[in-house]
Amino acid sequence: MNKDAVFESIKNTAGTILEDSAYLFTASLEDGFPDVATWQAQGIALSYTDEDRHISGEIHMWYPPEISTIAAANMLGIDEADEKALSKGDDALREILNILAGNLLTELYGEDVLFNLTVPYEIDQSQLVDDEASDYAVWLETEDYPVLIVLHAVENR
Amino acid sequence: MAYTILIVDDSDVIRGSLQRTIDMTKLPVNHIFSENNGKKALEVLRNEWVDIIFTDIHMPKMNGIELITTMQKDVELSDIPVAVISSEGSKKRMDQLQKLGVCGYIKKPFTPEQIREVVLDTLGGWDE
Repeated sequence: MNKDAVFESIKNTAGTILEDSAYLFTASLEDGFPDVATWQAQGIALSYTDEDRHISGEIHMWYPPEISTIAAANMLGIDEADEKALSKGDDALREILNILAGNLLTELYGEDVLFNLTVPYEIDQSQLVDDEASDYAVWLETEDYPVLIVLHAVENR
Repeated sequence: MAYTILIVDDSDVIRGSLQRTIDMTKLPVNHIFSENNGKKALEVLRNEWVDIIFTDIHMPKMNGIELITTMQKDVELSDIPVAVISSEGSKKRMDQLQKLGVCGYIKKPFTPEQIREVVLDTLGGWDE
C-alpha cells in the first residue's frame, strides 16, 4: 500500500464518519499536538481479518473523554449534560470505530474482500506512545479536542 | 396507515440514533420496537404486528443473519420484510443478503433519506 494514499484515506474516511455519524466536524490537527506521555486519552481498538486470512490488523482510536459525551449527545439528539449522554459515551465511540473500520477497509481493499471485525475493546494507555510513532497515525481535531486514529495493517499474501 | 417498525441492534446509541433518524423521515409511524439481539426480536415478532425490521448483522446471542434465517423457517414470520443496516460493505455480504431476500441494505452511517426510501419501496405509500 502507498503510504501517502493510506494516510489520506484514513484522514478522509475518519473525518467523514465522525461527521456523518455524530456531527463531529473535523480538521487535520496542524499544531498543538498533545504530549502523549501525559495526555489523558481513552483508547479503543478493533481487530480485523479478511476471510482468506491474507490481511489482518487493528484500528486504534484515542480521544479525550469529553468527545465521547459530545458524540453520544449528538447521536441521540440530547443535551451533553443529559445523564444518558454521559453514560452512553463509550458505546457511541465504539460504534463510530466500528463504522470507521467497515468503511475504511472497503476504501483500502475494495468491495470484493469480506472482513471479519471484532467487537471494539479498550486498550491500555501504555500503547499510546508506540501508536503515535506508527506510520499510519493520523491526528484530527474536533470540537477543539485532538483525536488520534491509527491503522496497524499486516498483509500475508 | 402508519408503520410499526422493529429496530434490532446491540448498541443503545445506534438504536436511539436510528429512532431519531426515523422521526426525521416524517414517515407516519405507529410504534417503534427496539431490541438488542435477534432472540429478543423474535419474542417481539411472536407477540406484536411489525411492518418492517431494521437489523444489524453482528450482535450477541443471535445475529442478524440468524434472525433472518430463523424467520424464513417460520410461516408466520417469513413474510415480514427485513432491511439490514451494517458497517460492512463487501459485495460478498451484499450477495449473501440478497440471496436471503432482504428488502434493503443500508451501510452505516445511515441517513433519513435512505431509511425513507427502503420503507416506501418495500411497503408503499400511505393515505395522507
